[in-house]
Amino acid sequence: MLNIILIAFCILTVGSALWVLWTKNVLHAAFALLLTFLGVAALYVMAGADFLGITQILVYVGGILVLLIFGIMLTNQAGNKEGGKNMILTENLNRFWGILIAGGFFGLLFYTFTQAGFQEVEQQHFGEISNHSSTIQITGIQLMTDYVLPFEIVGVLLMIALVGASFLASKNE
Amino acid sequence: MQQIPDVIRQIPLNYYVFFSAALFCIGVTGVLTRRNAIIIFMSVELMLNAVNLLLAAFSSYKADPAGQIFVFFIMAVAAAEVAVGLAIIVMIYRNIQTIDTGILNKLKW
Amino acid sequence: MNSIIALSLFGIANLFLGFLNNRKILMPATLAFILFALGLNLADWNTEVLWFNNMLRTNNLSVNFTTVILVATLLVVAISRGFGDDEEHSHPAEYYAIMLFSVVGAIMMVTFENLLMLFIGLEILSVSMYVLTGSDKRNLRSNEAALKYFLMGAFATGILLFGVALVYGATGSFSIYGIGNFVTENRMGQSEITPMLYVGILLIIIGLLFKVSAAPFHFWTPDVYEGAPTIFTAFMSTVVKTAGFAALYRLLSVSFVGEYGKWVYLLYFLCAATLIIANITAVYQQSFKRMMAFSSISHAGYLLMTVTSNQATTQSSILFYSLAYSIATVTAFAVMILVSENKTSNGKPDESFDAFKGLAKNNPLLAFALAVSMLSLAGIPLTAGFWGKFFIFSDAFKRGLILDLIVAVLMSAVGVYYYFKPIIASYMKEGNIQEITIKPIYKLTLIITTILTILLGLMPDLVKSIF
Repeated sequence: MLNIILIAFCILTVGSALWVLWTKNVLHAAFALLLTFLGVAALYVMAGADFLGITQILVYVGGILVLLIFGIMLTNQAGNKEGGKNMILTENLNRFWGILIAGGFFGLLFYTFTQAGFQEVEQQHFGEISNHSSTIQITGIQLMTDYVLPFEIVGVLLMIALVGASFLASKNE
Repeated sequence: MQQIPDVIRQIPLNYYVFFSAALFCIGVTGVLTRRNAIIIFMSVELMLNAVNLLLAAFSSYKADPAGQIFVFFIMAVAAAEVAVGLAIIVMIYRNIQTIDTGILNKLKW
Repeated sequence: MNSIIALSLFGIANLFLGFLNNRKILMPATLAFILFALGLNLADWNTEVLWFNNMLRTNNLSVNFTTVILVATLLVVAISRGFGDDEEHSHPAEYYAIMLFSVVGAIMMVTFENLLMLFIGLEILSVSMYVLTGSDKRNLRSNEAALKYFLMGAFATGILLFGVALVYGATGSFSIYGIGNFVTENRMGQSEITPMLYVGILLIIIGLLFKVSAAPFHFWTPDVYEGAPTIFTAFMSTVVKTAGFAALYRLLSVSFVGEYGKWVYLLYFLCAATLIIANITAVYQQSFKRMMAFSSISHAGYLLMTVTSNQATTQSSILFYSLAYSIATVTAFAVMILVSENKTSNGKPDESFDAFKGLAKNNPLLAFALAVSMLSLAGIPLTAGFWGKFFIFSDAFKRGLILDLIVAVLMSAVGVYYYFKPIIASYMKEGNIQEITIKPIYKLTLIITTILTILLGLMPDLVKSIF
């Protein structure tokens, strides 16, 4: 039963990701991306990372996707100079090479994962399984103890992003 | 996370890794073939999502919280990158009214 | 670690200084901040500390790399005179603050002990470079360079992260020593290493080579270097490159040294390819700035050679080469900024070789500094660059990388040709350049870098014995 649900979510996610890849309409791509993010959030929950699933919805759907849609709306006005196409419809370029490279890469990964022997990994850990399920507590403790330095330093990165984005996007005076 | 979550026992890890590989390759294809800067950027987000899912799955299977913590930081960094990236895209749009990478050929692409 | 904290605070302090109406105070303040951080860094000499549950490690190696990075930053800030009094650059506080923040990322890349810190440091450095590349907002070339750098950088980050995820899946650890132990132990023959580890290592190497711009992942470099404001090109080609190679070296020599027999072939051929592509293409360039971009790719090739050889002396070779290369590059860009701003063609700064014509007649100091830096980059004896190349070649010789050595020697000869172009233009060609007025601090920087280049060329042991 669980396997079927998982496969359904996988198909939903890959399907909408392919839609992002093929659609000519930028706004459709953004909505397809919404489905992808939601599908990935469901997969997090099924992988036992429930808190990550919530964060995925908050950060990716609530933050990044909204920003992207803002970006589309801000850059999607008529009247391009220099013969640009209407922004909301876009084309592909060198499709052949792109698909060839990515396909070859997928082949490499596929081979790698079939050789990896994950079954054994599962067997080793099966004894420890319990019904204890939530990861929130352990994640919070880890973030505040072992990983407190990266937690603080990410603040520097967000500072750069804030200063830089407001500087770049502000009007030229 | 000393124990593996209950739910993961019933699903082979293979499902996750093959799915992540597929999603990652879709992202790579998008970056290589699309012309619109925003869609290229969406494809990069797909790649990052694939990485996140892979890390989360490995983390659960190894009963080691480090992988999930890493995903948090990837999410934070991705948010920062989106902000800067869209600022750059808006800045370019203000100058030439397009974000089609085929037209951006002052420097040969 | 202390310098990381100090620089983060100083960056914020710099932003607040921007509220003052007096812009002249910004550059001296930034110089003082960097000098202070340099002092804090040197105070860590001969101590070995692990910070915050094995996140960062301070030891002599990291102190040395941090020193090189801070010295390069110091020089770049010293030649950044245009921010204060120029209407074009109306946000000097932001520039300086972002530069200080980006140095935080660079220092994390040389002290990391955990892949998480490498990733965050790399992103801090990259994101600030995206912003700085696009900082000339009205210049379309700068805009495009920023977009291209951003898209390529984000793509490379994705690849790097997938590699990290695979390595984590194979080894179950993010700590570089944890990974190293796993790799070495499995090498001893307990169990078979899954191919997942190899693909992971491959992807991590590709991701890092993207950032240090080695062939065949170099295609973004010339455009980005040419489009970015020159001062930030100088910053990019010194600090980012040093930090990137420090990270690559630490990762390969600590984590993946057990699999040396596998990755050495990859780097062996990429190194030769980088040297050939970069040097041959550089010959055909008309623009000095674009030539410097290809030159920076070719220096990535030389540095890659010593990383490939993986000798005990590799770390000191990387340090010496980075130092010599950074000093010479900053000098060259400093002269170029002065000359090209002085001589405009079609309302834009003239960045071609022709701009240097007749420079020696009225500006002997500038011409001499340019000549010394070019000779150093070409690796002519009596300059620092010669010894940098010498140490790298001797490393490669000890490991027996014959193909790389032959290619490197041939390509150094090709390099002499294009590095001599600006020297010939400034000394032998006729031109009409009036005397250029130089600010005292700018002049001082040029004199110091020139003296350093010659001094290190005469007495390399001065620094080499420390590294």
